[in-house]
Amino acid sequence: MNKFEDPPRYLLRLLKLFCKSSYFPDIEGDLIETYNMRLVDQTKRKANWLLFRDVVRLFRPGLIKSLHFTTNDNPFMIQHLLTTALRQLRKNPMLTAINGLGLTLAITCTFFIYLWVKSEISMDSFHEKDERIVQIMLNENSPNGIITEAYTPSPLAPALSNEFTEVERAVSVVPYEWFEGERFLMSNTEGKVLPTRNQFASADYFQIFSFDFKSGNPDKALSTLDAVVVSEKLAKRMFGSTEVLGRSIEWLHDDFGGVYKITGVYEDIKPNSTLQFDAVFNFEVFRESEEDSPKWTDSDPSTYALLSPHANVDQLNAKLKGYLEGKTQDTNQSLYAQLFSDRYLYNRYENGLPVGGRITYVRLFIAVAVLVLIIAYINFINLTIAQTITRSKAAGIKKVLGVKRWNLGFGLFVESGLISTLAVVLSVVLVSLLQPYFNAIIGKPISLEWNTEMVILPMLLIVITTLIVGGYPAIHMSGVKITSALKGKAYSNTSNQFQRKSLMLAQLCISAFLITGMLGVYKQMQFIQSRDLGFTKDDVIWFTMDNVSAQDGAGELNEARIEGFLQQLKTIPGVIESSNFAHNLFGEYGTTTGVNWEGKGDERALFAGISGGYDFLSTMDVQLKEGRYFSRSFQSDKEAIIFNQQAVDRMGLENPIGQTIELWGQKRTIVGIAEDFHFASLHEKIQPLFIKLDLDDFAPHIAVRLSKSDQKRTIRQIEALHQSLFQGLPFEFNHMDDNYTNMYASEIKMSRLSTIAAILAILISSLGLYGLTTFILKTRTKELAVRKVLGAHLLSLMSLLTRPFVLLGILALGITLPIGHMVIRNWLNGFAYSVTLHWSYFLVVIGAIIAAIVITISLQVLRTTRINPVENLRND
Amino acid sequence: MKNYIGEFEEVVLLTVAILHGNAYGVNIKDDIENRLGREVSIGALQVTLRRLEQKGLLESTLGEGDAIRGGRPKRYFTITAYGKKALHVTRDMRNTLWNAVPDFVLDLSRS
Repeated sequence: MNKFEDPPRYLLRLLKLFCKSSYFPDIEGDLIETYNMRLVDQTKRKANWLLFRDVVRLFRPGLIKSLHFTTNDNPFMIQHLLTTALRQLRKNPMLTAINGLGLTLAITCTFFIYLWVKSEISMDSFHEKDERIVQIMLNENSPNGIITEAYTPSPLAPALSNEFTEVERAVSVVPYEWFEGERFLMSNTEGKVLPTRNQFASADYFQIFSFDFKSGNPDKALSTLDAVVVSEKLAKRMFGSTEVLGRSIEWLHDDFGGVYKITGVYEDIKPNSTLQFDAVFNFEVFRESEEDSPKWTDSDPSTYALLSPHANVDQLNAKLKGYLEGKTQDTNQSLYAQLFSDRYLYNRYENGLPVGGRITYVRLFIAVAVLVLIIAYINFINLTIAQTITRSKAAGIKKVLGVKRWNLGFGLFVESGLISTLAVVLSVVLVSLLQPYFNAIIGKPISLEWNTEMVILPMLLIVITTLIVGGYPAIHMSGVKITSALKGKAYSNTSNQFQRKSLMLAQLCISAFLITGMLGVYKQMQFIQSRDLGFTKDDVIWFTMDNVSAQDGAGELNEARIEGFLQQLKTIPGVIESSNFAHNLFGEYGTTTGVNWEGKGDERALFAGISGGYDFLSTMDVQLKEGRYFSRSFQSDKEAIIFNQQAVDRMGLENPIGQTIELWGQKRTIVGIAEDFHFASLHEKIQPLFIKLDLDDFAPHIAVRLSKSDQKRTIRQIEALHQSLFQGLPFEFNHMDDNYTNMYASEIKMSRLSTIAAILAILISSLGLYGLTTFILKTRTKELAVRKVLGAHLLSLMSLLTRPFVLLGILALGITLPIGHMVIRNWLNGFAYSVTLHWSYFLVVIGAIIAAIVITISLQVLRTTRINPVENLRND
Repeated sequence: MKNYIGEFEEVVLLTVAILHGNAYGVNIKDDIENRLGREVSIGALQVTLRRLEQKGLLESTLGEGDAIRGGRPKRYFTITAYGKKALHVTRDMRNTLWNAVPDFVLDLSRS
């Protein structure tokens, strides 16, 4: 017989884990015996494998341990645990408060971030056929890289549904946004006029998108040319009722004007939809107003397709590759299908593919929530571990009396369970109270719906918190050795301190990181607000002249009417300057490669274009470098053009004034060169730009620069003027600087949220630090008293106690600042123009962390050290 | 009769009886495998042994350990009076049934 061999221990341990303990010894023996018998004629590997198989086969109901806990054996045990836990919590009210408060703040923060993330992720996903709805995007090669746009050729939708088996149906949509701010007015034919957001859509629109109908048939509502489907809200405002099926409604418009019949009323669209509109008209109405027949080269409607049940986006994309080229022979354009509900989160494109966008912020804030939670958890763990020193005696005695390790640890779970339940309940209350403020911060109405999810989530948080927060101390304390616990030195002070300090270091690192990030974002926001844009955005209001048909007395919007209005505007005393314009200076501009100049090579050069009336540049305070603004005194200015400096550099023109270039094949004379100004967001570099004159309804917006004094009165006068010319049509105006702020909506949101997160982080960390120092001071009162008796100065005592924490803070900063800086630099790289982070920026971070530490600690140190040492020494 | 026993239970009980005084896990398993030529998983065997013990058909005592078992004790199973009775009942039941079958039906030479 061979030598005896022990089988692998882990396999037997595995058995021990689940096997009933009274069965275990002999079964184990049987296994070892069998194992050795097998070794006689089999390899060790094989024997090990067979043993493993045997162990697995022993996992049977008859043999495994029952799962009830020992605590349940005695109902008094639970009661005892609860009593001791409550007693412990009451004994240290300050620690309890700190733990509870820290957890509450962190969990509240987590809740809000959860709500926000959920609302972001669920954007547009409410449509029944959500998984099958795709939007077709148009990728266009431009000299600056591929530009991805939502506007596609108009023959695309019919072609998709006819030629592609992957597509069940497809629709063309001309959304309200396509009209770039033009105001649509509708009337109930009885004199009531309202501005509305109108869109055009193919007849199948409501078979792809699920907008619930109050009345009418969604499948047939858009089948005729005079049909219109309106929102419940519009119906109510227009007619005072939602029972409006078959009633007439008039669109006051030069191109699309006429009386339409209401064929359907849909329920108001919730904010979780990116498609927002008040009325839908048949796409053919739009089609017919266009002069040209549908061409593959135009780019008017958005195209949405419903995939066949078994097709997927990739299949469609594979077929779309090169499809457009076959239609237009133009290699610069291609099509790309993207899942519609993904478009909201993945709204940034590079090289014609979605690469991120809002999803980045979503991920960022999930990370922030986790970090803030970790800080609060560390507080709790740290304070509990600190307490174990005093509680170890109790633990030792309990062990002597035969309390099992599991039960000992369970006590701590009960304690943390109580606090986390309290914290979660408080957070839920806080969340419902603070919700309106939160909505204001993120600029998005998020409603709290008490569904199952909102019940499960708090439960889950309670369980997770209890496990994490109670788990570590429970293992830590229940593992105490009886003898050393009773001697009062259960935990070697050094290892205990090391654990505490590393946890605290982690906490400080997170705080420092969040502050670094917050400050970086804040600095950039300040930079954006104070950046010299090259023009003045303040004190300018703008509104839109309505292009309504003649029968309403207002008449068609043409050059003469706009000019007449502007002349009358100029007579109002508070108006400094005014002009009509087509593109505002906040990211709305056209781009073209249609600029030609003498000496231009074969290359395609991309120019941005803005058009406006005579005084647009002077109204906006755009400074000229050379030449002059457009002027009424030059009849020829309709064939003139103004460039910015970038454009002149791009074309390499010397003495550009007076030279002639070609725009879309038409000769134009350069009359002025503008200094470079930011006509798009600071994310983008200033591009070559031309400005041309447009005096008719192509440029229907009116910008008015107001004098600083009594702007309200001036605006009232402008409104009166508007009323006299457009009887009954509502006057609505905007401030230019609001448009500027809107360009940075997500950055502003991020700035606010990161500020709150950073403040919470430092607050919760300070709370923890406060609790910890109180605790440490308690154990060191005698030492301090002796030092004082021996003549230690108050300051030296302070520095003695503060130093270790400050060192920890400095270490944390050393670790975090480089990382934080890198992350922030990376974020700033998304801007073409960003703030340069001065070294003083880091000084602020360092100052904030150190100040938080010193202030928190010294308050208590002062209190302790000022006590007469006799008080502290008398006890012994 | 309430306590009828299953086929595998019968096999185990009989084997314990065969091994009289030397019936413990490994032995029982080996004996069944050798005698009947069927593979027995240790899990199935253990479950059956414990179930029979719980039903009172078997009883067990912990014995000494061997070196080959790493010093772990053996659990020796012996059949109880109740167990004996159960085996008898089972056999009687079989016999009753066999006797009731007409001779030629189960005659292997006629097919």
